Amino acid sequence: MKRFVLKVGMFLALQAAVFLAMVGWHDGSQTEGYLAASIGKHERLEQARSPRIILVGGSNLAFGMNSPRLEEKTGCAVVNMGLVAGVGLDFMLSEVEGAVRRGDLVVLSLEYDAFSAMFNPAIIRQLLAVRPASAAYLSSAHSGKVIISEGLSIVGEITRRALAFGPVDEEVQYPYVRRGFNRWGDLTNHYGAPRCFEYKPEAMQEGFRELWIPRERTLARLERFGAMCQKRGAAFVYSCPPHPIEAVRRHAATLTAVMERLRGIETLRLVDTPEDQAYPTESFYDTGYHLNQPAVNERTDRVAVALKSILNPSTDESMLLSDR
Amino acid sequence: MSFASLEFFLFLPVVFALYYACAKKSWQNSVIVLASYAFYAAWDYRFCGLMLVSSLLDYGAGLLLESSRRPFRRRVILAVSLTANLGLLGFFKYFNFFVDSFAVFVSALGIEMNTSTISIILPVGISFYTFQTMSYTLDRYWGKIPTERNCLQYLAFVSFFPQLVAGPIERASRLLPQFNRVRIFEYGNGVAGVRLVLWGLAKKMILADNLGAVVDLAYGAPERVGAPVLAMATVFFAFQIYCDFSAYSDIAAGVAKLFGIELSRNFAYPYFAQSLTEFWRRWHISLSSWFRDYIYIPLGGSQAGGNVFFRNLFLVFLLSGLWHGASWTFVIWGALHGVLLSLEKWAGISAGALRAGEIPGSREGVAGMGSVLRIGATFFVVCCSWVLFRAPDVGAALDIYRGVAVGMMSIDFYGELVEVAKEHWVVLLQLACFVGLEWVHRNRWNPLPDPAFSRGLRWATYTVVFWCIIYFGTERSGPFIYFQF
Repeated sequence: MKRFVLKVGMFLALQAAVFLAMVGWHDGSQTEGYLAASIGKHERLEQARSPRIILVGGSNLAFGMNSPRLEEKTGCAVVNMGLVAGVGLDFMLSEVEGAVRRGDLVVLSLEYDAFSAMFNPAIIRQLLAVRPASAAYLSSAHSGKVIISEGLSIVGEITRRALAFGPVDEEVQYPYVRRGFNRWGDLTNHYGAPRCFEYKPEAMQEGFRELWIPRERTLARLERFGAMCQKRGAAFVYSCPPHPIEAVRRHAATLTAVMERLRGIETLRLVDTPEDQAYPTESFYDTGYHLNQPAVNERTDRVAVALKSILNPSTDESMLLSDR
Repeated sequence: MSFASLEFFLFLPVVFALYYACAKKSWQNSVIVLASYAFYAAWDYRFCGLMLVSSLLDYGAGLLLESSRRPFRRRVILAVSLTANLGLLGFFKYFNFFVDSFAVFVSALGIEMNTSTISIILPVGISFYTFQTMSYTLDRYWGKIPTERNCLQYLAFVSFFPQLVAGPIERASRLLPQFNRVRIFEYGNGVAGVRLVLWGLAKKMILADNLGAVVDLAYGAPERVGAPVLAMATVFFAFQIYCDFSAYSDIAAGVAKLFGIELSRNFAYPYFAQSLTEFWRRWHISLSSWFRDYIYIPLGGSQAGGNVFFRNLFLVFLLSGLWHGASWTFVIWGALHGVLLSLEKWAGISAGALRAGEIPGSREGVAGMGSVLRIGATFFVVCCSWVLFRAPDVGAALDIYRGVAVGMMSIDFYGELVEVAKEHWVVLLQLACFVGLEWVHRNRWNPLPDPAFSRGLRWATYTVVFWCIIYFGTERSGPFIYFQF
């Protein structure tokens, strides 16, 4: 029995070594998929000099922020880490946790439905296939889920990419492509594209909104992250994601409850309200979180104003809004 | 919990460790029963009770047969057991089929019948474990095996997880005695088991899943694809179903070996058969032999002369078709094989057909032209019949037959076929390698190198196979085809 277990163990160790070699060989620079933008975002996070504004959240940030404009208005280097809400809040915070430095301002702008139950192992699989190093940001609970449901597929995708010796055939769907991102981490190639979003209030099932309200575990995670920021001399704030005016009105009670719970976190400061980040339906590109170009600038300005008191309490608000 | 999933490979070492931590036979059997019910519950926990009832029913029938001497009473016990088993199978598998078919029949007579069929979920593996329990009762009735008094042992025999959901359908005479002893781990057995598992995974994840993707596209919308695509998809399906089902059987046998249990061989290179008779001796052997022993022979088998013999043969294949699924496509598929086999017997083509244990094709490396032609002809007939097996309904199957037959009359068909082949060159290359490997190693259970080869060669081969599985494996390994039966 010992001999058998030893041999099987040795065989698996050999395969693990082969896999690690492939991870090392893996070159994500050729990848064109949307999630591969994570590679550039992490490079910028590493290279940008503090003080920085680090934007953390889902695709509302990727689609809806003009980082160069925000940089110009605030004087801080901006790193837009927003990519997809499906990676889950825990993962998003872990991605930047190690990089937060003195003077940084971490702006969390999380989609309302991502506070709870948004973690999607399939998204993590696609992300790890293009950036295996991101596995380090998975919590132990999520790691188990990802390994069991997606482990084989992740190893398969990394292997196929590592042994492809060139660009990998990928199904990319415009505008969800890596080359659409600028160096700050904003997606810009939907600018000027025709709107394909319509607000349908009936699209959301009754009871689903209950999931918006952050649970205790989520609040505790935010509290811990905020404490870490404080300890390093950084600030941690929440700015609401853009959402259609009709939706904000319709779900006012739920959103009030969400904000109420966030307000209870001592280390997190709320810089605006859902109403401040409510936009007409025409301002959205393809979902109720993805702004089109004119609204992107509008939002950027609103966020710049909202951050004013934290960055520099003496800044004149009219200057921040001058290009509106 | 599919064999081709990580959950299974996390589940397996835990059960393995617990199993060999037990020093007593009854403890080992307890681990098997608990693990098997947990494995089954991972599919659908609601049907664990059904499996338990089915097992206890035949366990009880065995005990009653033991205590009954009067033939009439024994016949009643047997009848009750068979009725209950077939009743459960009939209800869960065929209820809607018969109700729907009856409604269509009476509507053809001009009578409108309001049928509100209930949505019945088919319990995974019911066809397999029901046949296994029935074989125990029948063998007990005929006095071929002793009564199993140990309930735990009997439950282990019925629920043994490696072969629970898709066979091989084991006989009590072969499997029950293996649970009646303490199993001690044997190194050689363990290594052979792992080798079988690796080979099974290779067949499933490299070939079956990739072939299945092409087949699903073509058979999903046959009206949208041309005749060459349908023809190629049919050949691909022939290999998909073979690789898929034989992979399951290999993995089942390999895992069973890890637990010191020998399962019977279910496939013996069926596509190298030179007649349909030989094909059925090499394909799904445990089911074919079940029908042979419990239906064909009791009806008189080949001893019954003339028309009775052909009737028996036809009936067995008709039932075999129905066993596969509650659909007219399966019934016709079975009937077609029954007719073709009868014709083969009548024409004397099957005389001298090889048995499963014999090396297929020829003893030499290269088969003679006659053998090659017979193998090709048998494969062609089998392929044609697979259309019925895969098509969603009889109408679609007829359309595919018509489309391919008409297409083959045109010279363009062959040019387009080459283009389709170019498009799928990777899968075709894999298939060619697979057929070549099977041919070269057809004197063994699987082509992976055994201990006779040097350690370096073995490890290199296993590593290459392992990474081919990972590399060519599809994003999601589909469920094994035979789970639906």
